[in-house]
Amino acid sequence: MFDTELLFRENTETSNVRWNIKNGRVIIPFKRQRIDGKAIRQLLKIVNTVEKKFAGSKIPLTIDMGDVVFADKLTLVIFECICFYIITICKRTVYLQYLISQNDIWTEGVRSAPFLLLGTHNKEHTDKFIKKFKFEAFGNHFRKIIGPSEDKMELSKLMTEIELFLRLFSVGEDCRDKISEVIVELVGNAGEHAKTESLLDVDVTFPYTNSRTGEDVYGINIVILNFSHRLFGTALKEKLHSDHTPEMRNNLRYHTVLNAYENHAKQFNDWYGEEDFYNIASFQHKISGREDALLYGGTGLTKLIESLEKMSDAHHCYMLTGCRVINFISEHLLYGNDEWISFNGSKDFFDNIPDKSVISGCPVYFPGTAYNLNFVMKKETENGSKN
Amino acid sequence: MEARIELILDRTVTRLAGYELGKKVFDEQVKDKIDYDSPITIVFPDNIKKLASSFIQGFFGEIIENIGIVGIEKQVTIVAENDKLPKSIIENLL
Repeated sequence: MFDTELLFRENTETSNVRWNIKNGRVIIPFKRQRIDGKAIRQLLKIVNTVEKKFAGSKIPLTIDMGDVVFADKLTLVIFECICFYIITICKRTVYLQYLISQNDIWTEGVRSAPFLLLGTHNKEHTDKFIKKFKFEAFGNHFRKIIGPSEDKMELSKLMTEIELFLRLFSVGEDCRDKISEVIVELVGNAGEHAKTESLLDVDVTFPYTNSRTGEDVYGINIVILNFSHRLFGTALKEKLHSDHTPEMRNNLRYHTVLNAYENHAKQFNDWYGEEDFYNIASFQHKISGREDALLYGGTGLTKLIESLEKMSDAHHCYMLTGCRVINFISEHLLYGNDEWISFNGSKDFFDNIPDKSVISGCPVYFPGTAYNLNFVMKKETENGSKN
Repeated sequence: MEARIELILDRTVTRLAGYELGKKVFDEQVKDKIDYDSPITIVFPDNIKKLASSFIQGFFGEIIENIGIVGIEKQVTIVAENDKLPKSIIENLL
């Protein structure tokens, strides 16, 4: 289930925002210089307030956004989840008033975003939004909601599909392989650990010229998110503290994680806590929350992400779960001895907590796990070399 | 006795992913046909160009439990159209 309602169940604050009622619609002023986490939190409060105030009436909403600039692609997709919730769960019509005049290689995907359809005031466009929110494979945009399926070939089909989609652009073979693998592993994790549907959104931008190097580059912008009560680090936390897996206590790597916890716990502070520890520990090689993964768990995802970041001209990658964020900064994704990733540049996971730049917070509680993966890649020529 | 297993897989995909799928393919097509004291050859169909880490771990998990990664390197031969595929399997399991 793709449970957008969970976002509202976990973010129940209301707001004292003033609105007008015009032509039988509630007009919500929501003009922001930039739509980021703080703005999303305000919007959640406003929607909660409208639901409370107009509980007995399905009065339509108009959200007046002005000139829209999203902080990144994940913020854009969460905004669309809010619109989807208003329409499908609250059963309200929502219209958007917006202008799109400035965006860059990181957020160019806004030009193919399904929410644009809500700028036209009719039911047909609302229906199209619902459809495109769930699936689109058109032009430079690929969107799909994928659930845990009985069909064990589902992930293989998705990996094949993504690789084919990326082939339509100047994306090199190695990059296509890595991106399609990162995507299916993250989607697969959501299905296995959270038992929930994932939304996948990929766009490839038009070529840009890097003003510094003069090289042609293009952006690959990816969002993967699922809504779930189970956060990213939950499974590992439960597994490490479970009495039902005595064999796990004899496993050296898990034993190291438990010892690392003791060392890190002494250094917990106002920006790094227990939740962050389980998040970074879940990314470790051969560590997995999966019950039957003891000898060969872990997916090497950080290796793939680091490798993609190294291939890129620039990147902006992070994971959000609950209120916590892990920023994937390539210099902190290096593996030390015995394949432990420190997230701090010291190559010592056991004793040292992550670098401050790796950990951050989010003003919105995100129930589930969401990834924002943006890569700026150098354009490859037909023979495969970089231009 | 040496076992040569030619995997039968969906012809429409070029990639294989998923721990559960790897485990299922191993259980259904490999498990009962191999003897861990003899050489094993596993042949992937030509349409398969790449294996995701999750598939590799599901497929090779039981083999590792029996002969370890060193045993895989010594005893198991992977045949695939993509000649990078065997190396990627070992790298993934290390």
